[in-house]
Amino acid sequence: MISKIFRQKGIKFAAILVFQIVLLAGMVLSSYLVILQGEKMTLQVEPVDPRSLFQGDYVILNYSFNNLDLSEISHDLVPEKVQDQQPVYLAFSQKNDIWAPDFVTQDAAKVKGRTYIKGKILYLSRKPMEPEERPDSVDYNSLPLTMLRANWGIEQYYVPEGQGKVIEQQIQDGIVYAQVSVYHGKSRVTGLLTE
Amino acid sequence: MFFNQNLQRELPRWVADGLITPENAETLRQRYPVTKNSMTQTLALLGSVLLGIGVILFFAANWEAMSRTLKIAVVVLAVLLAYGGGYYLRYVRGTYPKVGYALICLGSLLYGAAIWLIGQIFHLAPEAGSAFLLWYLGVIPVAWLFQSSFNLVLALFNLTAWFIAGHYPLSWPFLFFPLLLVLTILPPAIRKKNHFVFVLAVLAGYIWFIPLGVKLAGINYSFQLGIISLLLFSLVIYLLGQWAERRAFFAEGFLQALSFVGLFAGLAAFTFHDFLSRFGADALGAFPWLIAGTLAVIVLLKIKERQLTLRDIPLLLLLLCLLPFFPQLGESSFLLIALNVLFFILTLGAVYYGYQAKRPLLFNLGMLLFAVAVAMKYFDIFFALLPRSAFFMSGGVLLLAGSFLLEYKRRDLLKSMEEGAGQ
Repeated sequence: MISKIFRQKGIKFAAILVFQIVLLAGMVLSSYLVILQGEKMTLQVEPVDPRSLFQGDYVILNYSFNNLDLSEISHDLVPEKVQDQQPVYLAFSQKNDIWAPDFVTQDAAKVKGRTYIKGKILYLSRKPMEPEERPDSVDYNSLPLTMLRANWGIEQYYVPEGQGKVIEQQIQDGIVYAQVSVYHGKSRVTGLLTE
Repeated sequence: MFFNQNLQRELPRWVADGLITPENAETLRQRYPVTKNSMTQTLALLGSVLLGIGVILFFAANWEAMSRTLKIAVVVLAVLLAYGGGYYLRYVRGTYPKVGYALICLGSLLYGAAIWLIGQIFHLAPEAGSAFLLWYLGVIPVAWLFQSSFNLVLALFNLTAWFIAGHYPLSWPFLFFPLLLVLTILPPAIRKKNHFVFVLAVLAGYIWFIPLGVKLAGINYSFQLGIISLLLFSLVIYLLGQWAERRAFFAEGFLQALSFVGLFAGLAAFTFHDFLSRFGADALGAFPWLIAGTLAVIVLLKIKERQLTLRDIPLLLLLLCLLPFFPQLGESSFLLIALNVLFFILTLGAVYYGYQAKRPLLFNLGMLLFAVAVAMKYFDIFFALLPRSAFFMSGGVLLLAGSFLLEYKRRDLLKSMEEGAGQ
């Protein structure tokens, strides 16, 4: 009787272990899929050096397209609909080995077939209004958009402990590029290049 | 806990003396269990925690001597060895059950280390809450299967961290966090009468509920709506405390004390003119849904109870939740005075109830918060009226005299409570 209970518990426990390994394998495989199947891009970055409690030293990679000036890039964002924390898609085109963003949208269908990354809107700037222009009840969300700050999931690069400062200094001295693999909007940093 | 131990010691004697039946004794044994935490178990658990943290920090150092595949293989193998070894020692051989349990706990920590390691290898964002969700999903079945408090706390920690990291307005974490809390964390905590986990889970509920009002209003920050959410949640906890008391549930004292602190803090804000006068500045958005939802819970609990008593008076605080709909009332001096009176009635009411019901926790808390209330109002009213030095000197004398009086009366009252209980 007791051994039967233990056997049942053992089967359930084995199932839990399989479940845990499936979750871990899912993390690994989804990243490998992006790295192996994705389009390889080289993007210019500006680094700084923080530290993660669980994961050690890493370099923050800041890209020019983290802050998008919406007067300089083509977009179809609707001021009344777009909000912080919503998903956003950024399409790229390649010019002389360097990839640069050229279109931003919230509609994934509009970037299908192109090289694009998916991100999250952190902050939106809207055109300020002079007091005399302001109607009695102005809806802030209807004001025209001027700037979009977004996170694209490729802003961190882990380095061996204690080497963050050294690497930062190395890359401060030259121009730094991030090698990024992109697959159906998902992206992973695969390495750093310095000139 | 000492009560439970003494009771367990007394039960055989009571049965032998014919005071209670063996069935009664068994029922009492199950209702007031004694959880034994031996030194072996404590040491083994501490060892597991230290080892687990060490492994996480070791991989956090991003050691380059190993390839990424080898790193993953090592950590996954470590997870399997810890879990497998723990299971073998505790359930198959049964010779070292405590060390076995500690190894199972270590397995859960190593599983978390594996998640963070994979995140590091692929340069995933450190703030991404999905790592906490994966950790929670992996350890909650372990907590259920082995009825493990350690894994339950670990699951609760990760669930809460996932919710805090995913602070999107009314997104998946906001919707699923309370559901997962109620469906996966609370049942084993209640079944095992695990006071510690139960308290942590209710506090996690606070973390969810308070910003809910603000999020529902669709704005980034509203102190006013946050305080009303606190009042609503505290009222629900207050009613749950009443329910727990009728059912002789193990945590009724904690629920009452928690709701009292929440009601005190919420109502305290309403006693300030600055707070009242700012109603109407924030958009309401979907905030009325929170009020409607809470009202539905309260009405359901009351229908089940089928009666209203004097102890339902705090429910009158629900009226304060209507203030955002009538912001002009915030300018009323009469309302301000009435709320200040109500504030002191609530505080003294808790002291009175704590004394009557012989609940020292609530009684002491009531005395403490009464002193806080007096000090708060002294600052609020007299700071602008008196010269600075006179304000501090008179305040010091008042506080010293007040604390002497409170301590003297408190001891007196606690003594009479004990005597009353002894009769």
